[in-house]
Amino acid sequence: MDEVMTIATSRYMLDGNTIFIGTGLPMVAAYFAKATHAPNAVLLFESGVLDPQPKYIAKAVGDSRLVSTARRVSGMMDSLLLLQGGHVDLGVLGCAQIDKFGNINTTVIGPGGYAKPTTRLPGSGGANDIASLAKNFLVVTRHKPRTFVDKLDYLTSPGYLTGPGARERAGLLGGGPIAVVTDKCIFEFDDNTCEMVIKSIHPGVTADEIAESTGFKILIGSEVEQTVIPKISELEILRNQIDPEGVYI
Amino acid sequence: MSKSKIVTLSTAVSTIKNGSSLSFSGFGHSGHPLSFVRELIRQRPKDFTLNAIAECWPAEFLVGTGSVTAINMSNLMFEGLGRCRAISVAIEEGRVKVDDHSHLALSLRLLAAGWGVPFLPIRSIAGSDLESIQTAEKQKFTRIMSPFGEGEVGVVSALQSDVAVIHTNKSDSQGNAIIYGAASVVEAQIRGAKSVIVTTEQLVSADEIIEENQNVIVPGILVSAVVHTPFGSHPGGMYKVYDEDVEHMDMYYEASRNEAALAAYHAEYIYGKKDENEYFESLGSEKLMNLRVDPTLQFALKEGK
Repeated sequence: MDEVMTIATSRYMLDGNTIFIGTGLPMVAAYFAKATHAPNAVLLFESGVLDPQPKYIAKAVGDSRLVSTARRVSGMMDSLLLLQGGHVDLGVLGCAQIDKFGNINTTVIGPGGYAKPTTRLPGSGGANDIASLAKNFLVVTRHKPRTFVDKLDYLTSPGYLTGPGARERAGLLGGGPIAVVTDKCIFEFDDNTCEMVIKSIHPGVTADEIAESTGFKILIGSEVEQTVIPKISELEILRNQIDPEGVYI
Repeated sequence: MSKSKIVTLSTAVSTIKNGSSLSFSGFGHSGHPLSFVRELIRQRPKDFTLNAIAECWPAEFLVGTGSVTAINMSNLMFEGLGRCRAISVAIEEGRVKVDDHSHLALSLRLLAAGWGVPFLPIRSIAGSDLESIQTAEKQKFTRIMSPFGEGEVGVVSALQSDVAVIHTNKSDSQGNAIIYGAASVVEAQIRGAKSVIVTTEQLVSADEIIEENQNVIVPGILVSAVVHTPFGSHPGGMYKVYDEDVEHMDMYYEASRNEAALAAYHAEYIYGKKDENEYFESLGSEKLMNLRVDPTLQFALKEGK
Protein backbone atom coordinates (compact mmCIF):
# COMPACT_ATOMS: atom_id res chain seq x y z
CA MET A 1 0.00 0.00 0.00
CA ASP A 2 3.04 2.29 0.50
CA GLU A 3 3.63 2.05 -3.23
CA VAL A 4 0.02 2.98 -4.04
CA MET A 5 0.31 5.98 -1.65
CA THR A 6 3.63 7.06 -3.09
CA ILE A 7 2.48 6.98 -6.68
CA ALA A 8 -0.89 8.60 -5.82
CA THR A 9 1.03 11.40 -4.07
CA SER A 10 3.32 11.86 -7.05
CA ARG A 11 0.34 12.42 -9.37
CA TYR A 12 -0.36 15.73 -7.64
CA MET A 13 3.18 16.89 -8.43
CA LEU A 14 3.05 18.54 -11.82
CA ASP A 15 5.80 19.22 -14.32
CA GLY A 16 7.37 22.60 -13.67
CA ASN A 17 6.06 22.84 -10.10
CA THR A 18 8.24 24.12 -7.29
CA ILE A 19 7.55 21.68 -4.47
CA PHE A 20 8.36 22.32 -0.79
CA ILE A 21 9.06 18.98 0.75
CA GLY A 22 10.56 16.97 3.62
CA THR A 23 12.02 13.48 3.79
CA GLY A 24 10.18 10.17 3.90
CA LEU A 25 7.49 8.98 1.55
CA PRO A 26 6.84 12.45 0.00
CA MET A 27 10.48 12.67 -1.06
CA VAL A 28 10.26 9.29 -2.75
CA ALA A 29 7.04 10.43 -4.43
CA ALA A 30 8.75 13.58 -5.69
CA TYR A 31 11.73 11.67 -7.05
CA PHE A 32 9.30 9.30 -8.76
CA ALA A 33 7.43 12.28 -10.27
CA LYS A 34 10.72 13.70 -11.56
CA ALA A 35 11.68 10.33 -13.07
CA THR A 36 8.33 10.02 -14.86
CA HIS A 37 5.75 12.73 -15.59
CA ALA A 38 7.37 15.79 -13.97
CA PRO A 39 11.06 15.95 -14.99
CA ASN A 40 11.08 19.72 -14.55
CA ALA A 41 9.70 19.79 -11.03
CA VAL A 42 12.06 21.57 -8.61
CA LEU A 43 12.32 20.51 -4.99
CA LEU A 44 12.87 22.97 -2.17
CA PHE A 45 13.69 21.85 1.36
CA GLU A 46 13.32 23.68 4.66
CA SER A 47 17.09 23.41 5.14
CA GLY A 48 17.70 25.75 2.19
CA VAL A 49 18.51 22.96 -0.26
CA LEU A 50 17.14 23.83 -3.71
CA ASP A 51 16.85 21.47 -6.65
CA PRO A 52 18.94 18.47 -5.56
CA GLN A 53 19.44 15.67 -8.05
CA PRO A 54 17.58 12.51 -7.07
CA LYS A 55 20.74 10.46 -6.80
CA TYR A 56 20.50 9.27 -3.23
CA ILE A 57 17.57 8.89 -0.86
CA ALA A 58 18.41 11.27 1.98
CA LYS A 59 17.45 10.53 5.56
CA ALA A 60 17.30 14.16 6.67
CA VAL A 61 16.65 17.47 4.92
CA GLY A 62 20.08 18.79 5.93
CA ASP A 63 21.72 15.53 4.83
CA SER A 64 25.02 15.78 2.95
CA ARG A 65 23.47 13.54 0.28
CA LEU A 66 21.04 16.34 -0.54
CA VAL A 67 23.42 19.24 -0.08
CA SER A 68 26.14 17.79 -2.30
CA THR A 69 23.88 17.52 -5.39
CA ALA A 70 21.81 20.74 -5.02
CA ARG A 71 21.88 23.66 -7.46
CA ARG A 72 21.76 26.10 -4.56
CA VAL A 73 22.22 25.77 -0.82
CA SER A 74 21.29 28.60 1.51
CA GLY A 75 19.48 28.46 4.83
CA MET A 76 16.08 28.10 6.37
CA MET A 77 14.99 31.74 6.18
CA ASP A 78 15.72 31.80 2.47
CA SER A 79 13.45 28.79 1.81
CA LEU A 80 10.69 30.10 4.05
CA LEU A 81 10.78 33.57 2.53
CA LEU A 82 10.64 32.08 -0.98
CA LEU A 83 7.51 30.38 0.31
CA GLN A 84 6.09 33.61 1.73
CA GLY A 85 6.94 35.36 -1.54
CA GLY A 86 4.48 33.05 -3.31
CA HIS A 87 7.08 30.99 -5.21
CA VAL A 88 6.00 27.54 -4.04
CA ASP A 89 3.29 25.66 -5.96
CA LEU A 90 2.86 22.67 -3.71
CA GLY A 91 3.76 21.74 -0.14
CA VAL A 92 3.53 18.23 1.29
CA LEU A 93 2.77 17.67 4.98
CA GLY A 94 2.21 14.80 7.38
CA CYS A 95 0.07 14.95 10.52
CA ALA A 96 -0.70 13.37 13.88
CA GLN A 97 -4.32 14.57 13.74
CA ILE A 98 -6.40 16.04 10.91
CA ASP A 99 -10.02 17.26 10.88
CA LYS A 100 -12.61 17.42 8.08
CA PHE A 101 -11.40 20.87 6.97
CA GLY A 102 -7.83 19.61 6.59
CA ASN A 103 -6.54 21.42 9.68
CA ILE A 104 -3.51 19.65 11.13
CA ASN A 105 -2.10 18.97 14.57
CA THR A 106 1.58 18.08 15.05
CA THR A 107 2.03 19.71 18.47
CA VAL A 108 0.26 18.01 21.39
CA ILE A 109 -2.08 15.06 21.97
CA GLY A 110 -4.41 14.57 24.92
CA PRO A 111 -7.44 16.02 26.70
CA GLY A 112 -5.22 18.39 28.71
CA GLY A 113 -4.46 20.29 25.50
CA TYR A 114 -1.44 22.56 25.17
CA ALA A 115 -1.00 23.20 28.89
CA LYS A 116 -0.92 19.55 30.00
CA PRO A 117 -0.26 17.30 27.02
CA THR A 118 -0.39 13.53 27.32
CA THR A 119 2.03 13.32 24.39
CA ARG A 120 4.21 16.20 23.29
CA LEU A 121 4.97 16.09 19.54
CA PRO A 122 7.67 18.00 17.60
CA GLY A 123 5.57 21.11 16.84
CA SER A 124 5.07 23.16 13.69
CA GLY A 125 8.52 23.55 12.26
CA GLY A 126 7.86 24.89 8.80
CA ALA A 127 4.47 23.15 8.55
CA ASN A 128 2.35 26.15 9.58
CA ASP A 129 4.30 28.31 7.12
CA ILE A 130 3.77 25.79 4.30
CA ALA A 131 0.05 25.34 5.07
CA SER A 132 -0.42 29.12 5.26
CA LEU A 133 1.67 30.13 2.27
CA ALA A 134 2.11 27.47 -0.42
CA LYS A 135 -0.26 27.91 -3.37
CA ASN A 136 -1.62 24.49 -2.37
CA PHE A 137 -0.66 21.62 -0.13
CA LEU A 138 -1.11 17.88 0.14
CA VAL A 139 -1.37 15.81 3.30
CA VAL A 140 0.02 12.27 3.33
CA THR A 141 -0.81 10.07 6.33
CA ARG A 142 -1.78 6.62 7.59
CA HIS A 143 -5.52 6.24 7.99
CA LYS A 144 -6.35 5.65 11.66
CA PRO A 145 -9.31 6.72 13.82
CA ARG A 146 -6.95 8.54 16.18
CA THR A 147 -5.60 10.52 13.21
CA PHE A 148 -8.86 11.52 11.49
CA VAL A 149 -10.61 13.28 14.36
CA ASP A 150 -13.72 15.36 14.86
CA LYS A 151 -11.84 17.89 16.97
CA LEU A 152 -8.10 18.53 17.02
CA ASP A 153 -6.29 18.73 20.36
CA TYR A 154 -4.35 21.68 18.88
CA LEU A 155 -4.49 23.42 15.50
CA THR A 156 -0.86 23.66 14.35
CA SER A 157 -1.28 24.24 10.61
CA PRO A 158 -4.32 25.71 8.87
CA GLY A 159 -6.44 23.75 6.42
CA TYR A 160 -9.71 25.56 5.70
CA LEU A 161 -9.93 26.53 9.44
CA THR A 162 -13.67 26.80 10.26
CA GLY A 163 -14.85 26.49 6.66
CA PRO A 164 -15.57 28.69 3.64
CA GLY A 165 -13.97 32.14 3.76
CA ALA A 166 -12.00 31.50 6.97
CA ARG A 167 -8.56 31.40 5.35
CA GLU A 168 -9.26 34.67 3.58
CA ARG A 169 -10.43 36.29 6.83
CA ALA A 170 -7.18 35.20 8.49
CA GLY A 171 -5.26 36.81 5.62
CA LEU A 172 -3.58 33.58 4.52
CA LEU A 173 -2.05 33.85 1.06
CA GLY A 174 -1.98 30.16 0.15
CA GLY A 175 -4.92 28.27 -1.31
CA GLY A 176 -5.10 25.51 1.32
CA PRO A 177 -5.15 21.72 1.08
CA ILE A 178 -6.08 20.05 -2.23
CA ALA A 179 -5.94 16.41 -1.20
CA VAL A 180 -5.26 13.95 1.60
CA VAL A 181 -3.58 10.71 0.52
CA THR A 182 -3.91 7.80 2.98
CA ASP A 183 -3.25 4.07 2.86
CA LYS A 184 -6.98 3.53 2.29
CA CYS A 185 -8.19 6.31 0.01
CA ILE A 186 -7.71 9.77 -1.44
CA PHE A 187 -9.76 12.71 -0.18
CA GLU A 188 -10.17 15.99 -2.00
CA PHE A 189 -12.07 19.06 -0.70
CA ASP A 190 -15.55 20.25 -1.71
CA ASP A 191 -15.38 23.69 -3.37
CA ASN A 192 -18.47 24.97 -1.52
CA THR A 193 -18.22 23.45 1.95
CA CYS A 194 -14.39 23.02 2.14
CA GLU A 195 -15.01 19.57 3.64
CA MET A 196 -13.03 16.44 2.87
CA VAL A 197 -14.75 14.17 0.33
CA ILE A 198 -13.56 10.73 -0.80
CA LYS A 199 -12.33 10.97 -4.37
CA SER A 200 -11.03 7.42 -4.79
CA ILE A 201 -10.72 4.24 -2.75
CA HIS A 202 -7.63 2.04 -2.94
CA PRO A 203 -8.03 -1.50 -4.35
CA GLY A 204 -9.20 -4.00 -1.72
CA VAL A 205 -10.52 -1.32 0.66
CA THR A 206 -14.25 -0.78 1.38
CA ALA A 207 -16.12 2.42 2.25
CA ASP A 208 -17.18 0.81 5.58
CA GLU A 209 -13.57 0.22 6.47
CA ILE A 210 -12.80 3.88 5.80
CA ALA A 211 -15.80 4.98 7.89
CA GLU A 212 -14.53 2.86 10.81
CA SER A 213 -11.10 4.46 10.56
CA THR A 214 -12.38 8.02 10.41
CA GLY A 215 -13.47 9.97 13.50
CA PHE A 216 -15.86 12.22 11.55
CA LYS A 217 -18.69 11.33 9.17
CA ILE A 218 -17.16 10.49 5.80
CA LEU A 219 -18.53 12.06 2.64
CA ILE A 220 -18.27 10.05 -0.56
CA GLY A 221 -18.01 11.93 -3.82
CA SER A 222 -20.64 11.30 -6.48
CA GLU A 223 -17.96 10.20 -8.91
CA VAL A 224 -15.94 8.09 -6.48
CA GLU A 225 -13.70 5.60 -8.22
CA GLN A 226 -11.06 3.02 -7.46
CA THR A 227 -7.57 4.49 -7.06
CA VAL A 228 -5.54 3.72 -10.17
CA ILE A 229 -3.33 0.71 -9.51
CA PRO A 230 0.36 1.40 -10.20
CA LYS A 231 1.58 -0.13 -13.45
CA ILE A 232 4.31 -2.77 -13.37
CA SER A 233 6.60 -0.34 -15.20
CA GLU A 234 5.95 2.31 -12.53
CA LEU A 235 6.68 -0.13 -9.71
CA GLU A 236 9.91 -1.13 -11.41
CA ILE A 237 11.06 2.49 -11.49
CA LEU A 238 10.09 2.95 -7.84
CA ARG A 239 11.74 -0.27 -6.61
CA ASN A 240 14.84 -0.42 -8.79
CA GLN A 241 15.65 3.18 -9.58
CA ILE A 242 14.28 5.50 -6.88
CA ASP A 243 14.58 3.56 -3.64
CA PRO A 244 16.54 0.38 -4.38
CA GLU A 245 17.74 0.04 -0.79
CA GLY A 246 14.18 0.23 0.50
CA VAL A 247 14.91 3.17 2.79
CA TYR A 248 11.27 4.29 2.75
CA ILE A 249 9.26 1.95 0.56
CA MET B 1 46.37 43.84 14.17
CA SER B 2 43.36 43.23 16.39
CA LYS B 3 43.76 41.19 19.53
CA SER B 4 42.96 37.48 19.08
CA LYS B 5 39.59 36.29 20.41
CA ILE B 6 40.74 32.68 20.62
CA VAL B 7 40.11 31.15 24.05
CA THR B 8 39.86 27.63 25.48
CA LEU B 9 36.52 25.84 25.49
CA SER B 10 36.41 25.95 29.27
CA THR B 11 36.99 29.72 29.31
CA ALA B 12 34.29 30.39 26.72
CA VAL B 13 31.80 28.20 28.56
CA SER B 14 32.56 29.92 31.88
CA THR B 15 31.11 33.18 30.50
CA ILE B 16 27.61 31.65 30.33
CA LYS B 17 25.57 32.64 33.37
CA ASN B 18 22.67 30.94 35.12
CA GLY B 19 19.37 31.99 33.58
CA SER B 20 20.82 33.00 30.19
CA SER B 21 18.79 32.77 27.01
CA LEU B 22 20.67 30.78 24.39
CA SER B 23 20.48 29.77 20.78
CA PHE B 24 22.65 27.25 18.90
CA SER B 25 23.58 26.64 15.27
CA GLY B 26 22.81 23.42 13.43
CA PHE B 27 20.05 21.66 11.62
CA GLY B 28 18.84 18.06 11.55
CA HIS B 29 21.82 16.01 12.64
CA SER B 30 24.62 18.36 11.72
CA GLY B 31 26.33 21.61 12.60
CA HIS B 32 25.39 21.74 16.29
CA PRO B 33 28.11 22.96 18.72
CA LEU B 34 27.95 19.82 20.86
CA SER B 35 31.46 19.97 22.33
CA PHE B 36 30.40 23.35 23.71
CA VAL B 37 27.11 21.94 25.00
CA ARG B 38 28.77 18.98 26.76
CA GLU B 39 31.28 21.30 28.43
CA LEU B 40 28.45 23.65 29.41
CA ILE B 41 26.66 20.76 31.10
CA ARG B 42 29.88 19.75 32.92
CA GLN B 43 30.24 23.28 34.34
CA ARG B 44 26.61 23.04 35.52
CA PRO B 45 25.08 26.47 35.09
CA LYS B 46 21.32 26.16 34.57
CA ASP B 47 17.85 27.73 34.31
CA PHE B 48 18.40 28.50 30.66
CA THR B 49 15.77 29.73 28.24
CA LEU B 50 16.32 28.32 24.76
CA ASN B 51 15.28 30.13 21.60
CA ALA B 52 15.28 26.91 19.62
CA ILE B 53 14.56 26.61 15.93
CA ALA B 54 16.57 23.62 14.75
CA GLU B 55 18.87 22.88 17.70
CA CYS B 56 17.44 19.46 18.50
CA TRP B 57 20.68 17.94 19.86
CA PRO B 58 21.76 20.89 22.06
CA ALA B 59 18.20 21.24 23.39
CA GLU B 60 17.84 17.50 24.04
CA PHE B 61 21.14 17.32 25.97
CA LEU B 62 20.43 20.49 27.95
CA VAL B 63 16.84 19.59 28.80
CA GLY B 64 17.78 15.98 29.58
CA THR B 65 20.32 17.18 32.16
CA GLY B 66 17.83 19.55 33.80
CA SER B 67 19.54 22.72 32.58
CA VAL B 68 16.51 24.37 30.95
CA THR B 69 13.39 26.01 32.35
CA ALA B 70 11.75 27.45 29.22
CA ILE B 71 11.86 27.04 25.43
CA ASN B 72 10.63 29.40 22.75
CA MET B 73 10.49 26.74 20.06
CA SER B 74 9.39 25.99 16.54
CA ASN B 75 10.28 22.33 16.10
CA LEU B 76 12.24 19.84 18.13
CA MET B 77 12.59 16.38 16.64
CA PHE B 78 15.24 13.92 15.52
CA GLU B 79 14.68 13.48 11.82
CA GLY B 80 14.52 9.82 10.89
CA LEU B 81 14.47 8.76 14.57
CA GLY B 82 11.39 10.41 16.09
CA ARG B 83 10.50 12.99 18.70
CA CYS B 84 13.18 14.22 21.12
CA ARG B 85 12.25 12.13 24.13
CA ALA B 86 13.96 13.98 26.97
CA ILE B 87 12.36 17.23 25.79
CA SER B 88 8.93 15.69 25.22
CA VAL B 89 8.86 14.07 28.66
CA ALA B 90 10.02 17.29 30.36
CA ILE B 91 7.17 19.22 28.69
CA GLU B 92 4.61 16.50 29.48
CA GLU B 93 5.68 16.54 33.13
CA GLY B 94 5.54 20.33 33.27
CA ARG B 95 9.24 20.74 34.05
CA VAL B 96 9.84 22.97 31.03
CA LYS B 97 7.59 25.80 29.86
CA VAL B 98 7.15 26.18 26.12
CA ASP B 99 5.80 28.73 23.68
CA ASP B 100 5.35 27.34 20.16
CA HIS B 101 6.15 29.15 16.90
CA SER B 102 6.47 28.29 13.25
CA HIS B 103 10.02 28.22 11.91
CA LEU B 104 9.45 31.47 10.02
CA ALA B 105 7.91 33.20 13.04
CA LEU B 106 10.78 32.37 15.41
CA SER B 107 13.43 33.17 12.78
CA LEU B 108 11.84 36.56 12.11
CA ARG B 109 11.66 37.31 15.83
CA LEU B 110 15.42 36.81 16.17
CA LEU B 111 16.01 38.81 13.00
CA ALA B 112 13.83 41.68 14.26
CA ALA B 113 16.03 41.84 17.37
CA GLY B 114 19.11 41.72 15.16
CA TRP B 115 17.86 44.45 12.85
CA GLY B 116 16.94 46.70 15.76
CA VAL B 117 13.21 46.84 14.98
CA PRO B 118 10.42 46.01 17.48
CA PHE B 119 8.53 43.68 15.12
CA LEU B 120 8.40 42.26 11.60
CA PRO B 121 5.37 41.42 9.42
CA ILE B 122 4.60 37.77 8.68
CA ARG B 123 1.99 36.01 6.55
CA SER B 124 1.75 32.70 8.42
CA ILE B 125 0.54 31.76 11.96
CA ALA B 126 -2.80 33.67 11.69
CA GLY B 127 -5.86 31.53 12.37
CA SER B 128 -3.94 28.69 14.05
CA ASP B 129 -3.41 27.90 17.74
CA LEU B 130 0.06 29.38 17.39
CA GLU B 131 -1.87 32.66 17.37
CA SER B 132 -4.59 31.83 19.89
CA ILE B 133 -2.39 30.17 22.55
CA GLN B 134 0.51 32.35 23.65
CA THR B 135 2.22 31.39 26.89
CA ALA B 136 5.41 33.43 27.19
CA GLU B 137 5.67 36.73 29.04
CA LYS B 138 6.36 38.60 25.82
CA GLN B 139 3.54 38.19 23.29
CA LYS B 140 4.93 36.72 20.08
CA PHE B 141 2.24 37.53 17.51
CA THR B 142 -0.61 39.91 16.86
CA ARG B 143 -2.40 41.44 13.89
CA ILE B 144 -2.25 45.13 13.00
CA MET B 145 -3.65 47.29 10.21
CA SER B 146 -0.96 48.04 7.67
CA PRO B 147 -0.10 51.74 8.04
CA PHE B 148 0.07 51.82 4.24
CA GLY B 149 -3.58 50.95 3.75
CA GLU B 150 -3.27 47.35 2.60
CA GLY B 151 -5.47 45.82 5.27
CA GLU B 152 -4.59 43.59 8.18
CA VAL B 153 -1.20 41.92 8.56
CA GLY B 154 0.34 39.65 11.20
CA VAL B 155 3.44 40.82 13.08
CA VAL B 156 5.91 39.02 15.35
CA SER B 157 7.75 40.73 18.19
CA ALA B 158 11.55 40.95 18.43
CA LEU B 159 13.21 38.28 20.59
CA GLN B 160 16.81 38.61 21.69
CA SER B 161 19.07 35.84 22.99
CA ASP B 162 21.84 36.55 25.47
CA VAL B 163 24.27 34.28 23.66
CA ALA B 164 24.33 32.49 20.29
CA VAL B 165 26.81 29.62 19.98
CA ILE B 166 27.68 28.87 16.37
CA HIS B 167 29.72 25.92 15.09
CA THR B 168 31.62 26.62 11.89
CA ASN B 169 33.95 24.96 9.39
CA LYS B 170 36.62 27.65 9.52
CA SER B 171 37.25 30.79 11.51
CA ASP B 172 40.06 33.30 11.83
CA SER B 173 41.17 34.65 15.20
CA GLN B 174 38.53 37.42 15.00
CA GLY B 175 35.57 35.08 14.45
CA ASN B 176 35.09 35.76 10.75
CA ALA B 177 33.74 32.32 10.02
CA ILE B 178 32.58 30.07 7.19
CA ILE B 179 29.92 27.36 7.27
CA TYR B 180 29.65 24.99 4.31
CA GLY B 181 26.38 23.35 3.39
CA ALA B 182 22.99 24.46 4.68
CA ALA B 183 23.44 27.29 7.20
CA SER B 184 20.09 26.90 8.96
CA VAL B 185 19.18 30.22 10.66
CA VAL B 186 22.65 31.32 11.69
CA GLU B 187 22.28 34.78 10.14
CA ALA B 188 19.24 35.56 12.30
CA GLN B 189 20.72 33.89 15.41
CA ILE B 190 23.98 35.85 15.40
CA ARG B 191 22.28 39.17 14.78
CA GLY B 192 19.59 38.43 17.37
CA ALA B 193 22.06 37.75 20.23
CA LYS B 194 23.83 40.11 22.63
CA SER B 195 27.01 38.09 22.19
CA VAL B 196 28.20 35.37 19.83
CA ILE B 197 30.62 32.53 20.54
CA VAL B 198 32.10 30.82 17.49
CA THR B 199 33.33 27.24 17.76
CA THR B 200 35.19 25.93 14.76
CA GLU B 201 36.57 22.78 13.15
CA GLN B 202 39.59 24.67 11.89
CA LEU B 203 41.35 27.86 12.93
CA VAL B 204 42.74 29.51 9.81
CA SER B 205 44.69 32.61 8.89
CA ALA B 206 43.04 35.86 7.87
CA ASP B 207 44.39 35.26 4.35
CA GLU B 208 42.49 32.01 4.06
CA ILE B 209 39.27 33.76 5.09
CA ILE B 210 39.92 36.62 2.65
CA GLU B 211 40.30 34.08 -0.16
CA GLU B 212 36.73 32.93 0.46
CA ASN B 213 35.26 36.15 1.82
CA GLN B 214 31.94 35.66 0.02
CA ASN B 215 31.36 32.54 2.12
CA VAL B 216 31.87 34.29 5.45
CA ILE B 217 28.50 33.96 7.18
CA VAL B 218 29.61 35.15 10.63
CA PRO B 219 31.07 38.69 10.65
CA GLY B 220 33.80 38.82 13.27
CA ILE B 221 32.57 42.17 14.59
CA LEU B 222 29.65 40.32 16.24
CA VAL B 223 31.85 37.68 17.87
CA SER B 224 33.16 37.77 21.43
CA ALA B 225 35.09 34.48 21.54
CA VAL B 226 36.49 31.86 19.17
CA VAL B 227 37.09 28.26 20.26
CA HIS B 228 38.80 25.45 18.36
CA THR B 229 36.60 22.33 18.71
CA PRO B 230 37.50 19.73 16.04
CA PHE B 231 34.74 17.09 15.63
CA GLY B 232 32.74 19.57 17.70
CA SER B 233 29.38 18.42 16.30
CA HIS B 234 29.85 14.77 17.26
CA PRO B 235 27.69 12.62 17.29
CA GLY B 236 26.20 14.83 14.58
CA GLY B 237 28.01 15.57 11.33
CA MET B 238 29.70 18.60 9.78
CA TYR B 239 29.39 19.14 6.06
CA LYS B 240 32.63 18.54 4.10
CA VAL B 241 34.40 17.22 7.21
CA TYR B 242 32.66 14.23 8.83
CA ASP B 243 29.41 12.34 8.71
CA GLU B 244 26.91 11.71 11.45
CA ASP B 245 27.89 8.93 13.86
CA VAL B 246 24.74 6.95 13.22
CA GLU B 247 25.72 4.20 15.62
CA HIS B 248 26.22 6.65 18.50
CA MET B 249 23.02 8.59 17.70
CA ASP B 250 21.01 5.34 17.67
CA MET B 251 22.61 4.35 20.97
CA TYR B 252 21.62 7.70 22.50
CA TYR B 253 18.10 7.44 21.13
CA GLU B 254 17.63 3.99 22.67
CA ALA B 255 18.97 5.29 25.99
CA SER B 256 16.53 8.22 25.90
CA ARG B 257 13.60 5.80 26.10
CA ASN B 258 13.99 5.42 29.86
CA GLU B 259 15.18 7.58 32.70
CA ALA B 260 17.87 5.27 34.09
CA ALA B 261 19.46 4.60 30.71
CA LEU B 262 19.38 8.32 29.90
CA ALA B 263 21.12 9.13 33.20
CA ALA B 264 23.68 6.42 32.44
CA TYR B 265 24.38 8.01 29.04
CA HIS B 266 24.92 11.41 30.64
CA ALA B 267 27.16 9.86 33.30
CA GLU B 268 29.24 8.00 30.72
CA TYR B 269 29.64 10.59 27.97
CA ILE B 270 29.24 13.95 29.67
CA TYR B 271 29.79 14.01 33.44
CA GLY B 272 32.16 11.03 33.37
CA LYS B 273 34.62 12.79 31.06
CA LYS B 274 36.85 15.50 32.52
CA ASP B 275 36.73 17.46 29.25
CA GLU B 276 36.28 17.06 25.50
CA ASN B 277 39.78 15.64 25.05
CA GLU B 278 38.82 12.76 27.29
CA TYR B 279 35.49 12.38 25.45
CA PHE B 280 37.22 12.01 22.10
CA GLU B 281 39.99 9.79 23.50
CA SER B 282 37.32 7.40 24.71
CA LEU B 283 35.78 7.24 21.23
CA GLY B 284 39.13 6.41 19.67
CA SER B 285 40.81 7.79 16.57
CA GLU B 286 39.77 4.89 14.32
CA LYS B 287 36.12 5.67 14.96
CA LEU B 288 36.63 9.35 14.18
CA MET B 289 38.71 8.71 11.05
CA ASN B 290 36.00 6.46 9.67
CA LEU B 291 33.50 9.32 9.96
CA ARG B 292 35.64 11.60 7.75
CA VAL B 293 33.89 12.31 4.47
CA ASP B 294 35.07 11.30 1.04
CA PRO B 295 36.23 14.58 -0.56
CA THR B 296 34.30 13.92 -3.79
CA LEU B 297 31.07 12.41 -2.46
CA GLN B 298 31.00 14.61 0.69
CA PHE B 299 29.87 11.69 2.80
CA ALA B 300 31.70 8.88 4.58
CA LEU B 301 32.00 5.54 2.86
CA LYS B 302 32.03 3.56 6.11
CA GLU B 303 29.18 5.27 7.85
CA GLY B 304 29.15 5.25 11.62
CA LYS B 305 31.46 2.28 11.97
